[in-house]
Amino acid sequence: MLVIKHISIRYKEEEVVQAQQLTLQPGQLVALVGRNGSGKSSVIKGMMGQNPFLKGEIRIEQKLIQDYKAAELSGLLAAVFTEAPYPAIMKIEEFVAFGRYPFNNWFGRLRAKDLALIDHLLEECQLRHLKGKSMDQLSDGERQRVMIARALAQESKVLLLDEPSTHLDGKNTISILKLLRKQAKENGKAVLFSTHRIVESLELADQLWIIHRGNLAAYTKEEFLGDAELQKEMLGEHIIYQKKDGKHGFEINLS
Amino acid sequence: MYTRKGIRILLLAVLLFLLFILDLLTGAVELSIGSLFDYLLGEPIDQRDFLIIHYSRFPKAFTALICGAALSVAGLQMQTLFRNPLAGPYILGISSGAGLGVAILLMGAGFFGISALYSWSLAAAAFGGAFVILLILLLLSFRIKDVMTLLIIGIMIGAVATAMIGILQYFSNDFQLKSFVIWSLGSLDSLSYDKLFLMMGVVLLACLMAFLNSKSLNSLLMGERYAKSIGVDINRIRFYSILSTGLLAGTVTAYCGPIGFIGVVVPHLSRMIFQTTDHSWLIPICMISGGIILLVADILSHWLVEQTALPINSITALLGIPIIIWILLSKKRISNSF
Repeated sequence: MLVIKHISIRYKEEEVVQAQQLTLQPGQLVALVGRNGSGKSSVIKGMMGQNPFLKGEIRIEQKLIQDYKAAELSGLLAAVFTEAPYPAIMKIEEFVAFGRYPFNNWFGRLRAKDLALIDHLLEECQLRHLKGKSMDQLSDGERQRVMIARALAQESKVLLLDEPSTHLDGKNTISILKLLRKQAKENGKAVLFSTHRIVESLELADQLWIIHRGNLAAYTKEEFLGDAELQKEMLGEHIIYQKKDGKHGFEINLS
Repeated sequence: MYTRKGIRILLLAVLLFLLFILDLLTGAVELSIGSLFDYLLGEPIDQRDFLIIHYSRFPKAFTALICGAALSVAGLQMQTLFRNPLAGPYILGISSGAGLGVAILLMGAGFFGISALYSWSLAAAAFGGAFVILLILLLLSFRIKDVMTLLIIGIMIGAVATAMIGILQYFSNDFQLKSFVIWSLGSLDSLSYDKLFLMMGVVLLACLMAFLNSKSLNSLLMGERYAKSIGVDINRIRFYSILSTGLLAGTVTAYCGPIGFIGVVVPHLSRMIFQTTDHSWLIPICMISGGIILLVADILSHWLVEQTALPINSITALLGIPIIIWILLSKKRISNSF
């Protein structure tokens, strides 16, 4: 369980984001949304303990993240960042094996159980048929799944992803979000991802964490849909939520 | 997987050994294989042959081996640390620093009233110059978080050193200028055994340091944020990589002059041939391949002209640059192939 309490991120005296109290529970899939430049990445960096501008409390299992040793934290928290350098000639299973680094020996040699886990994750992320391919032979969607498989290989309780669906088309986006949902629901992980895809997130995520006017707060789908003002802010004036024949849906207002 | 790589490494080692023998046989005076093997086995041999092998050929071939290994492992670490395919000891300005040290000694010797003819003072000057640059980089590396900035500062510092060398050259006489130019052409010759063993000791230590850091170096391939997220101490690995590189490049440049392109080319060739990015494999592979390339360069430097040898630095450039261009053209993915 990850708890955020009274945090504030300031750059040069100017407050970018602040939040009162938010909790990310095991088995929960949360979408972090906000306009461009609203500070989504800063919040994720902060949750990783990698943002020196963040003040306040972030706890995992009651303990402050800065009190964990780096290696210890890597067993609790795994991340997928937006910028993703990868060695082109590296095989995908070798890349996924990076996730085992905090736990294996001095030279990073893989044990039988590490190899079994990697195989299992390749299966789970629909990558089995790509085993043996090198990183530069993949499509963007496939590569993103490799990045997620690597993070999953850390077997952490919390999974944080910074815009996992950028560069991806609609089909790949849904498939990634479904994969994340499965991790939350079937494996009990606490998953948080930042995104611009509010519509998809409303369907698949349990909660939206919305950064709105510098304030980060949690909303359920119902709360979001009940707040016309917030909807207009987040979606713009051209996308309108409607209820037709008892079904939820969005419509684009062309007028 | 391991055995296939193992067999290839064994083949490389055999090739290294054969080239080592060939290099021992190469030179102005012809030697018989018989007396060479007698020497290697410790049997008594002809006095003339003994002098040639023991005091000229063997130190030279051994120097080639150590220099090649050192520069390759230095280049490999810099490419990984700076995530830049063209990084090497040169780009960080370490070689320029060594050059400045030597230039100050050779061309400013008159001012200080010391003789530049003692070779230990030459080595000390090069080493000192390299380490001053290194120290600046090391201190900066703790403050500057962005490796690209650090890389560019390295290039700038190198350029400053080169500019200062230019000024010294302008004010120096013919003799001083010639001594400096000869040093800057690089040479594998005339190392005494005590210097050879010192160089070998430092190089092995620095390579071991890199080898023990293989896992952290591997994790840097994902970028520093990911490395941090799996518990790698970035400052620590930066410190050790720069220290190891400085020891390797500084020592070699001090004794043999600036030898270019080995550090850039060998890591790429090693990755390509072995199709791996794992440093615990790449470091030993680079050590062997680096030795091979520099032995080939030395053999060529003797074969291309009669009676004498061409400057080693020109040969490594002539050999290295086509390889770089070939890699760039044949593998478009070079920019992030590591």
